[in-house]
Amino acid sequence: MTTRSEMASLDPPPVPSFDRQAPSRLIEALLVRVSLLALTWWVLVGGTDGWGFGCVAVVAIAALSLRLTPPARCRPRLRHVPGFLLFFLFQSLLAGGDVGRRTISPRLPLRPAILHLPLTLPPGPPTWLLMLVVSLLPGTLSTSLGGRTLELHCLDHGLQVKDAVVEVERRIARLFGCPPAPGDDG
Amino acid sequence: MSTGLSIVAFLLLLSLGLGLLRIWRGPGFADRMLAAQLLGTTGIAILLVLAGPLEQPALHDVALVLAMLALLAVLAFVARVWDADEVDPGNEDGGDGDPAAGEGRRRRNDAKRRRDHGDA
Amino acid sequence: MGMLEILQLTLITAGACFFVVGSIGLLRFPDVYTRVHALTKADNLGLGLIVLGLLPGAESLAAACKLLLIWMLALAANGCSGYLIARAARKLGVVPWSRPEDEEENR
Repeated sequence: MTTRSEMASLDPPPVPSFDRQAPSRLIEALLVRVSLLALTWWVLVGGTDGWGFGCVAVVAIAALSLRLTPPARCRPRLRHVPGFLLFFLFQSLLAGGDVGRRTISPRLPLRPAILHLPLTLPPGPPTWLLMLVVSLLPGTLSTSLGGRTLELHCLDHGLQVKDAVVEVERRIARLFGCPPAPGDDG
Repeated sequence: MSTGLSIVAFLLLLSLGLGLLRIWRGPGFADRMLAAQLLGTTGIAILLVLAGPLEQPALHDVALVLAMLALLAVLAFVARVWDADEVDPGNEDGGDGDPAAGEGRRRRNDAKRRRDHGDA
Repeated sequence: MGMLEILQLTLITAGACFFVVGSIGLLRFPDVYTRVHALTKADNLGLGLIVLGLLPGAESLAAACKLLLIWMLALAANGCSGYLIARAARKLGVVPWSRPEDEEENR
């Protein structure tokens, strides 16, 4: 059971796992995805028109997405999304301020370096989110992912880059509901 | 409000022009590719700001499409880099077993094999 | 011109200033990696501030949500393309710039 769902978190997910999922989890995932897609449709259309097409499209896309990406063991938990979003917004504010300060300063205070950090997050979506968020953090930029080592470019090696990345990892692990377990990933 | 927004749009256009200087100077592919990113984000901002004064809410949809197209341009660029045969794969990484680098090398070799095959 | 409009214009102007800062960084910073930093972060914050400033002027709730959706999409696109450009530059063998005194850490 656990090994199979861990397999599902890797890409590409094996298609047969679609109908072997627990039904309750499938129904929950279907409801969440249909609501999100319906919300997107409402935003795109900008009102109450076109729900005939909308319903068909929403249901079709939700079914397709369930087939292609069945619910994994590590998936974003709705109750942790607002907290993560706030953290992210605050960090991007800091990042913009930081880079702005360095740009305007006549001395151009840059001390760039390349760093290699080992990752503890499971591969797949949690790692992708980490790389995206790290690129928008103050002074860091993901440059490549080799196995489970993230290569970073940082603007100033005096910054506590490592601590910041570990903090993001911890928050993403909580968001996805999977503990950061170092070691092999099955 | 409307005048203010127009001035802001002009400021954004100025920033875009400033960024275009970097494309002029280069020097690398990657430097110039940053232009796609710049055009994408600044273009979105200009469209959003002008949608009010011009009374064209549809500009919001244009901005939405622009956001997606900007990413596509970068993807196309990256695909080209990955197929570039003549470039030595940056081996200075030192990381043992970098699958991305390995994949790039493999694909390059595949391309070479295909070409050799065609020649023979 | 009410208080709200002044606040809106302030936010939007601040956002545009971040765009200008990003472009200045693009010109001043020494190599492609640092330029990606400047462009990605400054532009994201700039667009965020502009969207925040435009939100009260949206004609409906759906229109306001669309503004947020555009920002989120641009955020994801910017983060991805920044990473992809940096990775491509590594691939092409562009050596990161560093201060002479940090030279031994330079690869």
